[in-house]
Amino acid sequence: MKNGLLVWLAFILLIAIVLIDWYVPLGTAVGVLYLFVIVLVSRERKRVILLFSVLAILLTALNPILLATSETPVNVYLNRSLSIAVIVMTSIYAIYKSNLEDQSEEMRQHLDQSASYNTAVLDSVSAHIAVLNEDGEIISTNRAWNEFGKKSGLPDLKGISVGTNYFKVLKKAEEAGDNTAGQTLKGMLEVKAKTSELYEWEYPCHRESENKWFVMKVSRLKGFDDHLVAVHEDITSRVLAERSLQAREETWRQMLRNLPGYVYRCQNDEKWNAFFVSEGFARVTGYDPDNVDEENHFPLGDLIHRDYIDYIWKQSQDALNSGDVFRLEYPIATKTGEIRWIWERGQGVYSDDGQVQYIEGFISDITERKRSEEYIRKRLSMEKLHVRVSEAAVGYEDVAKVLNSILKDLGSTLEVSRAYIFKHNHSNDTLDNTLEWCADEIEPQIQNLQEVPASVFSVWTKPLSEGKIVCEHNAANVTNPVIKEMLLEQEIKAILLVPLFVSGEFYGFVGFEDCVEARNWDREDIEMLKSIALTISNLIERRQAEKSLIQERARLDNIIKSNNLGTWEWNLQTDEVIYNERWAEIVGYSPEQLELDCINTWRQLMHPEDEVKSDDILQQHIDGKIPFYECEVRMKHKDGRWVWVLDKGKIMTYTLDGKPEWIYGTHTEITASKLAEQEIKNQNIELEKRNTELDRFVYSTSHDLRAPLTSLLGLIMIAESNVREEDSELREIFKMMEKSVRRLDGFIGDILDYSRNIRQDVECELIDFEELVQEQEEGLKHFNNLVDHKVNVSVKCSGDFYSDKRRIRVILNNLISNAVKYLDPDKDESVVNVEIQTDDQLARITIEDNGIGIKEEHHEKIFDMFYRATAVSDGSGIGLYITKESIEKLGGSVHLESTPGYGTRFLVKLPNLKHKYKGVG
Amino acid sequence: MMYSKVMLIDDNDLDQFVNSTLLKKSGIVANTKGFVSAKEALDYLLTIEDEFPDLILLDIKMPEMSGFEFLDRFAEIPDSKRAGCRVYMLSSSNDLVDMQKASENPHVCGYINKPLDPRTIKNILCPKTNGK
Repeated sequence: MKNGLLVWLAFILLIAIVLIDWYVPLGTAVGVLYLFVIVLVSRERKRVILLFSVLAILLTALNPILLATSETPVNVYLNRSLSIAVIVMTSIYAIYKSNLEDQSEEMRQHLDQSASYNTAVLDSVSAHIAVLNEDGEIISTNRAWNEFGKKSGLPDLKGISVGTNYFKVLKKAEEAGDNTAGQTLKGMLEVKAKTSELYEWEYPCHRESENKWFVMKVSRLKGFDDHLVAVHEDITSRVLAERSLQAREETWRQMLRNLPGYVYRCQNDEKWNAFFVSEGFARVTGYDPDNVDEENHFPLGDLIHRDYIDYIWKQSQDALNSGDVFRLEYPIATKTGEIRWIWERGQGVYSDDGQVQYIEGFISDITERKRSEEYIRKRLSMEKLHVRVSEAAVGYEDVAKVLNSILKDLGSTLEVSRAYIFKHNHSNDTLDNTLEWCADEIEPQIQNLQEVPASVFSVWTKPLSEGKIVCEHNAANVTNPVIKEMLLEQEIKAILLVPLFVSGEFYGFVGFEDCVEARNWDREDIEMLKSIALTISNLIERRQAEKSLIQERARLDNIIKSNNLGTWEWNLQTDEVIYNERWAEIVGYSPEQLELDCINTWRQLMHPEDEVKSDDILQQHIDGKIPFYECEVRMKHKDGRWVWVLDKGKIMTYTLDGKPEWIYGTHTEITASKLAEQEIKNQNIELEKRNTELDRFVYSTSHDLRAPLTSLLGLIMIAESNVREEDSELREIFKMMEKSVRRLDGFIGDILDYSRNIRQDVECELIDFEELVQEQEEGLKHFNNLVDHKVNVSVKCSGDFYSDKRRIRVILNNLISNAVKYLDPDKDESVVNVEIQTDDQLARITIEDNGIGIKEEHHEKIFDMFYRATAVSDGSGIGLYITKESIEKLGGSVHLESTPGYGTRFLVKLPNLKHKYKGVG
Repeated sequence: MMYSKVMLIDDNDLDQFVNSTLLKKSGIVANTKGFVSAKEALDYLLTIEDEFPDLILLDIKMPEMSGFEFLDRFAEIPDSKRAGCRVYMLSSSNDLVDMQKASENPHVCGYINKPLDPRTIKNILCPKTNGK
């Protein structure tokens, strides 16, 4: 509006000047003024306006000249018209322009608003933005720039804001050694010089607390080419993201590189032309993966082992057609021609219409694994071999057959030429090749190797007998000349000998030879063979033991047969039983007629009464109360009679939990002896009865004999008491009568003693010798006409003495009464010494007198029955006989010393029968 | 007099005479009464009310009723009646069975082997300590 008015005023002034045609200089001045106004009001299209204005001034200035040169009014008018036209046109344009600007005024207001909007936008941008003028002075910044300067805290940056010359700042920083600043300055100047459109510089700015990255972008300000816009931005997050992406990429690349194989991508053609392989390709195949790309294909199929191509093609195509993953293992040839085993996992990448576009997959080198597998397979076959050997060893087949099969197995598994066993004969120190196995086309040697003196192989037999193995890997490398010659002579390339020990003694060895080529005997193989050798040793040992067992068994069988023993074996836990033939024969059956494996066979044949007894005894044995089961039982014979059987047995095995298991026993037929025994028993009973009868007879006879004697004695006593004192002759007669009767009575008593001694058993009881001797002293008083005498008694007892009281009484009675009876009336003093000493072992009874004595010739005979040594005797001649018999019955002895005229000494030794005493207190 | 009334039971009248005479001669016995049969002796003992014998000498082997059989029946006589009566077996038997039997019988005070002589009478029938 303002400009338009000005133009209009200038236009009216110019028109007025032209119209009045006032003065040229004035017109020129006005024209210049006009021009100035135009230029003032209109910055746009100033060239056009300037042109027109200059033209108008020129015309105005030319006006007087034209006027001067031609006075024609036409010219004047023309001139004037022209000037006016120019002015009008210029004015019209200026007015138009002015109007245009008036119209833009509102727009400009809008734009102003828009500018502040833009400023706000710029202020809200996180990038730091500054506008530099052509000198490098900062003329405008956004808020981020300012705040960055403040926030950064760096004194250098703080002052960098509007008004600062950024070029100088940078220059200064560059001189201080800041490379970034130098770069930035350089870039800015390049942009400013328009040698480049955009300068962009990313640089790190690391501080203690954090790592930061920035980018500086410099470009010319659009529309203000001499101005530069610097955009500075924090790109830390972007950089970090990029970095992690890079790291991830690197990792992935690394992984691919480190894969034990490679990743590929190939076409599904017959050669499997690959257009990508990962780095591992070189390691696996030896070819360079970098030479493989979209243009340069690598035919993977050429690597595959010829034998596998068809198989792999079929497998892969089948998988691809069904959309499956295929997994394959096959050998390939590397660049150097080495065979390697690989494992492949591949799958198709399909187009939308289901066609295979290409194959992607991974290939891994499994050569090592294959080798391990091969190794394991070999070990496994060795293990299996060992198992077979062990199995064969526990079988019951002929030992030679088993060993032959073992040798064959070993030889073929180890792929040797020859496998054999040598036996060492201890008697003559030779070696026999007992068994041999040869591979095809290998000549057997067994015939040539019999009774070979061990000394020939002493280099081997010596270490072998010490339990060492002999192992030569290569005959050519053997240092010992003896061994080398021996090997070469037999064309052996490699040999392995393992010793065999049976029952701890060197038995021989098992050997393996390779006549084809040298070989490295595998350490594990050797260990395995050692173990197999042990098995073979055990086998031989066991077979030897079995052999002797069989012999022993045969011996036992013979013993059983020759003794006619029935045998039985009974498992108490399962009632499993085994009887032998004789067992059945005893009861009259053939083995087929009886169930010889059934416990009930036994129970049914046994006498029911004996079954209880047998079970009871067996239970006692089971309970461990008795060491054997032994029982006499009756069994029903086939023909109906009862057969007596001595049944003996013993538990021989126990179950793991300690229960009795197998009991083994025998049956002996004892019917005959049992019957004989019965016969004896019956006879004994009969005899017993007769004895008792005899006893009764003896007693009643003695009673009947004694009865009249005692009556007679009584009568004599009465008669005697009635005899007057002075009638001494009659008194003497009565005395003699009494003596005679008493002698007869004594004889009857002796016979009774004799009878008792013979038949009655020894009854043990505690003996009181003092009492017994005293009893005898009492008894002596019955003798009326005895020599005056003195009896000295000495009893020394040490501990209790046991014997048969009655017999000791008989012994003492006879010996003491004899001593008293045969005293010497001519001696001044007659003495009888009774001395008794007892201890744990025996009693010594000494009865000594100084009587008439016994002549030596009678010494042996006085103990005989009815022998009387002296006429002085009025005895029956049976007393000493009974004495001797009684002493012998008691297990004792009697010794006599006597000298006629001096005296007699009886020494009786009786054993202490303490051990037989089953006393009742 | 130690014994006022003695009963002698013996089938042998000769022995009865001897024993009776010896006892009387010994001076320890006032009256003796002899029986040749144990049964009669028993019947007698069963019938009498008082004057029960204070000593009985009993033979073993006798017809009809033996000495031991007599003792069995004797045991049936009430205690009160036979209290103070001592019974001795007097026999010529040396049979150990008889001796054993006699010693086991609670009514028997002792076993005397015939013949009965003055020493035996003194020692056994007249023990210093009078009584068992």
